[in-house]
Amino acid sequence: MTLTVALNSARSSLMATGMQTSVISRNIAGANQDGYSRKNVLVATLPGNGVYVAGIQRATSAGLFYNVLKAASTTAKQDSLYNGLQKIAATTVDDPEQDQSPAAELAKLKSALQQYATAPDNATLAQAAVNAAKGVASSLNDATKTVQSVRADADTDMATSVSTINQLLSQVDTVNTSIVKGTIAGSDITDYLDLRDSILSKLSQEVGITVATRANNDMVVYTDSGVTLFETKARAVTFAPTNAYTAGTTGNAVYIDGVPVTGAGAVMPIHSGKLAGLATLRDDAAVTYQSQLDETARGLIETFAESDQSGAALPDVPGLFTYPGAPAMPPTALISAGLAGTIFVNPSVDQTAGGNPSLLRDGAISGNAAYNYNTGNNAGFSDRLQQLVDGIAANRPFDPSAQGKPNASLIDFAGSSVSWLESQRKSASDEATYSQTLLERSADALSNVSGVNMDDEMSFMLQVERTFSASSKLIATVDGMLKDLLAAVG
Amino acid sequence: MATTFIATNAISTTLRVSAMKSRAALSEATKEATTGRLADVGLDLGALTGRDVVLRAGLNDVDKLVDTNALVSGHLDVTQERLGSLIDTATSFQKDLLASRNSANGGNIIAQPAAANLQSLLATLNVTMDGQHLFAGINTAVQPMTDYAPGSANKTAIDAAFFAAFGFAQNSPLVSTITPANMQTFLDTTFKTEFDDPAWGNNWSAANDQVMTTRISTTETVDSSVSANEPAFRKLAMAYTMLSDIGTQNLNQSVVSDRNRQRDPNHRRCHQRSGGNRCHDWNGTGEDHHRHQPAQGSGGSLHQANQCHGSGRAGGSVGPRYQSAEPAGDVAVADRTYSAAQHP
Repeated sequence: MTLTVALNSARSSLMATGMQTSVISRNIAGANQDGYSRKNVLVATLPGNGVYVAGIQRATSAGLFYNVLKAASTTAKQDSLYNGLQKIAATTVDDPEQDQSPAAELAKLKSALQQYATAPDNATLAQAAVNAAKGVASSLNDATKTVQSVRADADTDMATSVSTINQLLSQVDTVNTSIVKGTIAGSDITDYLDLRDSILSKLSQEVGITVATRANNDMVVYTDSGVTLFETKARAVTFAPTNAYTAGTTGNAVYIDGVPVTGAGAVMPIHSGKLAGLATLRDDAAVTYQSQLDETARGLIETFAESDQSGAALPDVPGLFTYPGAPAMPPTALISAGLAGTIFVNPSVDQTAGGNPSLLRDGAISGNAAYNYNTGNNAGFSDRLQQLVDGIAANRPFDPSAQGKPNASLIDFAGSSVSWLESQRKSASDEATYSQTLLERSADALSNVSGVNMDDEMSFMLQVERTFSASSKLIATVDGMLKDLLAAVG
Repeated sequence: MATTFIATNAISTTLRVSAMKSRAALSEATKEATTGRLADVGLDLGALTGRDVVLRAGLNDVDKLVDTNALVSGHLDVTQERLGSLIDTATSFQKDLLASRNSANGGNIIAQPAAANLQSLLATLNVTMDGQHLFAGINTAVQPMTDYAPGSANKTAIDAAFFAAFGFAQNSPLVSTITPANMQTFLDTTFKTEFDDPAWGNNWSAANDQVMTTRISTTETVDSSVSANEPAFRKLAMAYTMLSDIGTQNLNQSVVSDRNRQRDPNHRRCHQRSGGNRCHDWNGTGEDHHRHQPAQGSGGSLHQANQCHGSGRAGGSVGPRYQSAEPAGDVAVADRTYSAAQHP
């Protein structure tokens, strides 16, 4: 009976449009949600019997999605590196106009010595020079503290990042299981796929990843260096945080699936993501800057060292600037880790500590009379002071591994250290800006492929509404025809 | 459809992001417009920031040099002014000397101003500025010259030398018995020794031979003071002492104005000690000094002294030469005073 077939077709059309309306409303609901992908109802023809819903599909592009993951990883890495460097630069350099970098403090010391050398009998100028020296020492001490606290902060952030990664991986585990099961059962898994994608993009901010899809939409996640993060089940990411940092401390490595991925001993080092940025900051950038500070401190101790004046060929000893290892001199042209944190002005010249600032002019700051330059005890003796001023301007060797100028005056070396820091910060910032733009463009492109356009959904809804009303009309018509037929028969 | 498709979310995100970026750029630009400097100097300059820092250090350095040079210049001005007044005093004293030479009581007339000039010389050399004794070499904390007064080491030593040479004190009436030859011998030997080292250092001066040095540029260091031990000051002190305190009042007139006295070759040596200065050939004639008429000699010395002074000023806009020329001028004055007193 053909009328029954017509009724059935109209009914199947009603069911299909019902499903379409439901999907349209889901699309509209998710229109402004990041990571939501547009769903489509696959309507198939049932020969002779109208239409049926074959499944629900989501609009996506795997290639664009991987681009977004990659850009997000790079941005996160450069951002975390930039933030750390920014913290160091703000404390140790800031605006050069502020004259608060170790180089500027050294220049102040040189000026104060120059002033004192003009009137070596003036105790006030002597104390002013000693105060300038204390300024230099405390700027180095403060810079060391800042650098080490930035390292400690990076370490804490790494621990947070590791726990986030573990959490995200366990979510991937749950969602992936649902997807595999759903795929096998043939149920609608599109929302789960969206969920998995959004978890992956969160994961990519912590650590650079690559993904691969296997049968039944099963997904495998690797780090950008190739270590397995997720395969059937989540792999353990472990890290033992270090609470206190000094210049000599080496932070612990992060292990993924038992493989070290950060630090000097990394077998498969990760290249991007927040974790990689923090590790670079903690193990590389901050360490190099610290060694530049240490070299500046060593240069200072050497410049102000006193040599034997008695003819007894005694070894040189630290003078105005000293450190806990005195009276031995720090090894020459080699980085002494942490020296910048421990350097201090000898209290025997500091009036506020009960010392005598005139020792700056006379020598023998270390307390041994053999190192007295002013043997005639003349108030106007300026040779030693001139020697110190010359010493600050003289070139001296620095350890090339500190990455400053290998042979320069103290102020030039401290200036090259400022250059190094700012160039690192600038390149991190440039890289971050670039990858940020890349991320925006990729996300834009992906959104245009997979996102929802409200106008489009509205016009589609009108279409569905038409179909629905036509189908209802059809049912009413068939109903009328059947009624007429039954009345005629009856 | 895919080529023109745009997601509603992308439209609003693009707008939001661009608004945020404009906002950040606006805040940066506002800061730059108000301060006139880059908002984040380090971020903009990058590797060139070190140059900024080092240039600032250099600026700081030169600024301080300008300050300290002004200070040194102040010291040099005072030194210059004091030395100028020494020359004036010596020159006018020389005129008195010429006037008194032929008077019956010349020694008596000249003794009083000579004593006063000696005091003034010593006071001048003891001048301080900011607590520094300007003529003390590097021993700036100690007053360089000892006062010439009874009980002082220098006066005691001169008295002892006089007594040793003649057997009586300067105020004894017996002074009139001293012959020109005896006085000549005394002046050339015992008396002169009192103004040479070590007697000078022990009895007269606590100054250090080493003078103050000052850095006047990043590379240049110069001597910036004069020591009271310069030969010129010794000669001047010697002349004033001789005319005031070796019994000048009671000396026989023949001793006071001995026309026939030969010049002591030591004087020439003194001139040469002033080192490469043309002043030792006073009149530029190369003639022997004792052949000059006294008036010419006197005029010549004054002239030369001033010339030295002048050339010193012209030749050395800074420090050491300018200063070393000063005592050289005084050598001329002091020496001439000394010999003028002995020439008839």
